[in-house]
Amino acid sequence: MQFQLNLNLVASEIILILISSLIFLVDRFIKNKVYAFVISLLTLVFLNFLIFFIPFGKFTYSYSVDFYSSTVKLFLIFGSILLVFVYYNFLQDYQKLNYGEVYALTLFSLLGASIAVSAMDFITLYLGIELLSIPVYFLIATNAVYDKKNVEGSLKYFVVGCFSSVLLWLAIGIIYYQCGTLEFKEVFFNSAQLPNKNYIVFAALILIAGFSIKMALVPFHMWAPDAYQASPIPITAFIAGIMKLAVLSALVKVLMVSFTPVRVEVRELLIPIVLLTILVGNVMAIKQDHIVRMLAYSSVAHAGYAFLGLISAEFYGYAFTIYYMVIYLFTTIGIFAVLTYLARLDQDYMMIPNLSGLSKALPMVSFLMLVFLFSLAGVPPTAGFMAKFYLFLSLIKGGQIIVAILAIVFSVIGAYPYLRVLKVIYMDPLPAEPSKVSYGLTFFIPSFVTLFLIIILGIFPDYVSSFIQRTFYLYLSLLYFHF
Amino acid sequence: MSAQDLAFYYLSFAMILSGLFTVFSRNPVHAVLSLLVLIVHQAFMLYLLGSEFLSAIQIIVYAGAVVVLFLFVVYLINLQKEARFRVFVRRFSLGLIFFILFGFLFVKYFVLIFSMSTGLRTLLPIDPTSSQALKMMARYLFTEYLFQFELIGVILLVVVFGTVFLLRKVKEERVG
Amino acid sequence: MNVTVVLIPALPLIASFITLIFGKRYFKDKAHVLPVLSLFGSFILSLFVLYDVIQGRTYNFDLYSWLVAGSLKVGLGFQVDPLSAMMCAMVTSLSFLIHVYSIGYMHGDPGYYRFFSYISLFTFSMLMLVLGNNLAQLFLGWELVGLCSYLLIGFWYEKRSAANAAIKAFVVNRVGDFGFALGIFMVFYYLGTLYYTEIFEKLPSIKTAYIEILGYEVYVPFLIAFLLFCGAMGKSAQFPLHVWLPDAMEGPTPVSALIHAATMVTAGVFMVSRLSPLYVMSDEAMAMVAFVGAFTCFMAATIAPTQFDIKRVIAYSTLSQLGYMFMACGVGAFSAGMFHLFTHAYFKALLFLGAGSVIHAMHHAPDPNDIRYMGGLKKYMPITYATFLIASLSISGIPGLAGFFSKDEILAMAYFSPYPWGKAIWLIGLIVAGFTAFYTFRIFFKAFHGEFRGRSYLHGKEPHESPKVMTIPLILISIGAIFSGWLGIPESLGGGAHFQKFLEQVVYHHEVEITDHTLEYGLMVLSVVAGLIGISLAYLIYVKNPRLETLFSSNFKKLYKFLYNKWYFDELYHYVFVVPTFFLARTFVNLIVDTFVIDQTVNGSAKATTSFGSLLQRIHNGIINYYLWGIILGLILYFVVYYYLS
Repeated sequence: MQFQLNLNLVASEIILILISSLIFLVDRFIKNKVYAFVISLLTLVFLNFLIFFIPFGKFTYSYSVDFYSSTVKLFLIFGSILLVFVYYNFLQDYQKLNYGEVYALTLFSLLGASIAVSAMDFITLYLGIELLSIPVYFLIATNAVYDKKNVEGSLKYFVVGCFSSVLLWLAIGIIYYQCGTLEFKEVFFNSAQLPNKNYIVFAALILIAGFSIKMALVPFHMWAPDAYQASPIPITAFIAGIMKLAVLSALVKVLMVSFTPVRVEVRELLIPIVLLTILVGNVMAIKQDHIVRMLAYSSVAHAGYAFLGLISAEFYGYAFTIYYMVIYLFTTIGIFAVLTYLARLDQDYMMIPNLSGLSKALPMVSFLMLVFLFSLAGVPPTAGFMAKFYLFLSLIKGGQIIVAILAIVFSVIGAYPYLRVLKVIYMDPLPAEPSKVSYGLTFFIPSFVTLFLIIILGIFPDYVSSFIQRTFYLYLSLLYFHF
Repeated sequence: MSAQDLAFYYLSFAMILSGLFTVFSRNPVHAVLSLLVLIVHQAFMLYLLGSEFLSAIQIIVYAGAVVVLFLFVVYLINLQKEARFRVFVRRFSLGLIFFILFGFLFVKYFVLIFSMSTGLRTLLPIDPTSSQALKMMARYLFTEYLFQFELIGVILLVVVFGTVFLLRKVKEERVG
Repeated sequence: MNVTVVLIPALPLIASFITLIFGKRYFKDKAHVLPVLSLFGSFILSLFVLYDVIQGRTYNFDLYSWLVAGSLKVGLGFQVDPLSAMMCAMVTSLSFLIHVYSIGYMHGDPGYYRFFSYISLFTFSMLMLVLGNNLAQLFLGWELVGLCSYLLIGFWYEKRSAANAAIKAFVVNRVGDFGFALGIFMVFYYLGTLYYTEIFEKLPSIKTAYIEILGYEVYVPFLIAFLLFCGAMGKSAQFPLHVWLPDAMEGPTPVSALIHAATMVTAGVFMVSRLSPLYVMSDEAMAMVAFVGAFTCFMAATIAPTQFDIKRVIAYSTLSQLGYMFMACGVGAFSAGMFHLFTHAYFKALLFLGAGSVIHAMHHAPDPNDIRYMGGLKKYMPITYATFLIASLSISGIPGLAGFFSKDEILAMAYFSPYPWGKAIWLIGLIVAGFTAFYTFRIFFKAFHGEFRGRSYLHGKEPHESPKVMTIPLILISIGAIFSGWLGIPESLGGGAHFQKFLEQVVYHHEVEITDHTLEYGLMVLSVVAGLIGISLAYLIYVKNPRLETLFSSNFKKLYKFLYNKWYFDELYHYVFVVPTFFLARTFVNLIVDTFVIDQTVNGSAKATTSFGSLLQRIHNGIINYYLWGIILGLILYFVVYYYLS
């Protein structure tokens, strides 16, 4: 195969590096930090369009621009655009954190995400995930000077992240030992010819364990609530939304391309962990009084749901996994946009009991919360329901009826924590009229765009889901056709 | 069991052991020193596997620079006096035993390996004297694995940026 | 014409949304205008559609497909055939009148706009349920109806009992819905489609299908029918999921009328009739339907005479009448069941609205629902009296009124049915007919005859007739309560049984040739006699000789208490389900919380460390160890599965 160094393919990555380095360099000299917001926003919007014009192909053997990676990048960048507004909204009131570097580090992390989903070999995959994670360690510790809790959260996350890396390396080692290559497709072809696939299953096991840490599956999840709570709110949204989507997309790609010969075994491996994740995530969310902690556990459960698509061991199941994560990304951004607004008010609205009677004081914000929480709970007219529905459907088609039924039962439990929050907001009395802060465009854009998406995708789910499905089919057919 | 195998098992064992020491020792200085032991063994392991270049790098960069930096850090943060010295002395005997044990094995097997001076070169995967390893690595790094190579550069850049960012905040807080 | 069909549910939906959004600020006490108008529009449109269907034109079209995934296609589609057109006309006509009635009943309530918005939404949901052409849409309507009933029963949510009743209704329905969802899932699994027409086409393919459950071979059609029937038991309040309905009386009276007469409870019967070809495939399923109906019918009829809350008595009578409908379905006379559903809707709505009118007049009494405070209202409320009398006679099966024809149809069908349990069902139905007449006239006599017993609470004022906006709907509905039965006069009485023939185009029916008309007349006479006995007994006890009132309660104390406490079902469920569930939930949550060491970190963060050194220490021997243990645990879990695999 011809070895290519076509810089057009990595244009978006180069732009990301340049822009974020630029922000790092000039931040010291510019007092008004709005510039960082504007630059990041413009860059991301530009990249969002650029994605459509980047030709498909490979940069060296390890980085490929294809249907799959471009689609996922599209969602990642779109999510980041919305998230940048949330950042701005948050940093306006937390001047102590208001540094351009916050944006720059986020862009770096996004760079890692985009590399991880474009990776075509295991080393690039690993490096992409590291690049995705490292800026986040710093971002969680952003507030370190004022709050030691943040350093603690960051360090814990770092240690756990190291564990994850170790597991990834171990898996990579085994794969190299068995297949003599690290390129995804070659791994597929070589492993398909192996008489005994036990080692490959083992490698998949270790790899999935490494990813389980990043995705916070139970019992790998314990870092999640601490890290989520320790981080500033928009960064929590980044970890829960963008990071999870990127990591999961990378995993799906690996499983889809390299581990197809052991698909069934991988499914069996996942079943107990995934069911446990959904159950424990939902049950734990019930007990939480801090809303971010509650969302952290809910995020654990939702990662579990997303993995249900992998359990189906069919390509459409994989597609629905990505779809689910995309919907979860939108919902997360929406809900964290609302939380960011609430955090700006004087009251401590992060504790669920304090939200009492919010609907009377802030009807619009409460309504947004209602829709987002409904989507998380999987109540019908929202996208969250449809996404879950697709997953259950793929499970049933994949013949995993018992898993489907259990997951449905668990998801009934899972509705409780959200309904509890809504009950507090809508049914409980309002203790005192809270102070109000003007909303501003930076609040409206992320929250209403996600609201719109969630409702539209609940009513017309076919557009995005069939788009993703088609992407998968095209990707796979091209992948094996051009080998 | 050939000499190479023996050396491999010894090195693996020693690496695991010193790794455990690194993790479990309560004294940070011990931990760093155990890490040093680990790295040295690792360097030999790399040599045994035929990449003498990496082996040398391992010694120079990790043992020579990184671990020394660790030691500096450990001494800079405010440790209790006894943690630095007394406990170290108290466990001196244990350390001596291990030193003798390791030293004995170390000397024994490496004398064994190097005593087979004629046969050894053919045993090694790559002949150290006509080193292709460095060239090969360089060629891979700048062609096939160029992307990963650059990527590592970016990661290091991010780490530097991040550290500078956190320290900048600390500094600005102290000033303002 | 498609537009017309779509508009029928769309109008109430639009009205509901507009009222909900703008009601509080702009419409205020004019909030009823839009819902009432939209319901009137729907009613007129559904009459057009009904006319069309009678002319033989039916519709079946998809509005838009919600999702297409492989062979599964779920869309918003409408199927208009005799069954749905009839339901549609019934629902819209009653709902419209109830809307009008509510203008008077809910006047001055702070949640006026909310109320109208909810009941419009409720009607919309029911219309969606009825008009859908696939099971998914049926389920959607099913759930929406459940949600609306939750909102409406708990409408006065400041009242604790109302909030509890709402939750009870919701939870009990959820139990049924779980079965229902599983049933739909089974249908999809075995037949690969959710569209009624396709389901019926493919039904023969599962004629010999069996599935093994816990070592038993279960006939698949029976399993599907059973699971779907779980949902019907929930919605239509059949034993053992009947407990929510009497409590649902906590909602405003028009809501009760809407839930009991036109909408929610009929959903179950409708579903069974809609899927009648599925049910008749399995005799066991038919027997189940019949006996669940018969048991509920009998149980409710025994509880009703012991209750003092006027709405509660009517609620139990609803249970009992729903039992009749299921009995009819269970003996294969689906059209008779639907016929009874149709007539019952009118006289039951009339009973409820009449009761509402009485309650409206009694609202000063400590408990306006309690018949012990009423009495002699005949002379104060003549219109209510007359309409209530019509409804009571109708439900008692007095010849000429609607209830007579439909009930008789059921009894005759049961008697002549090809199923072996037909005669038993007939007997139960006959006994219950007597009971029904008795308890209906019990409240009738208690409320309208004798001396007025609530005078001391009225501060010297007289109870008064309700405003015209309430009485006119009563009169209109009473027309339905009299004449709706005339649509289905059996052939033996010189009628054409038009109603049944109309429905039999779509629902399953056995070819029952009733050759022996003498026997049929005999059965009719028997059921009329049973009704008359009930009425005269009530007259004897509650008008002629009030001392007899306590005869039963004092002589059969145990039995009376048993009946008064509704066969102890609430208590039974409380101890069998509620208490253990709460116990399990609590222990379970605590167990998991303790096992997974969760909230230590919250305490930990509170005493956040100040120096980096102690921070390091914290990580060293602190909570992070748990994380790593978690990771190792997870790895072990993976290894175990791996080992198990290889």
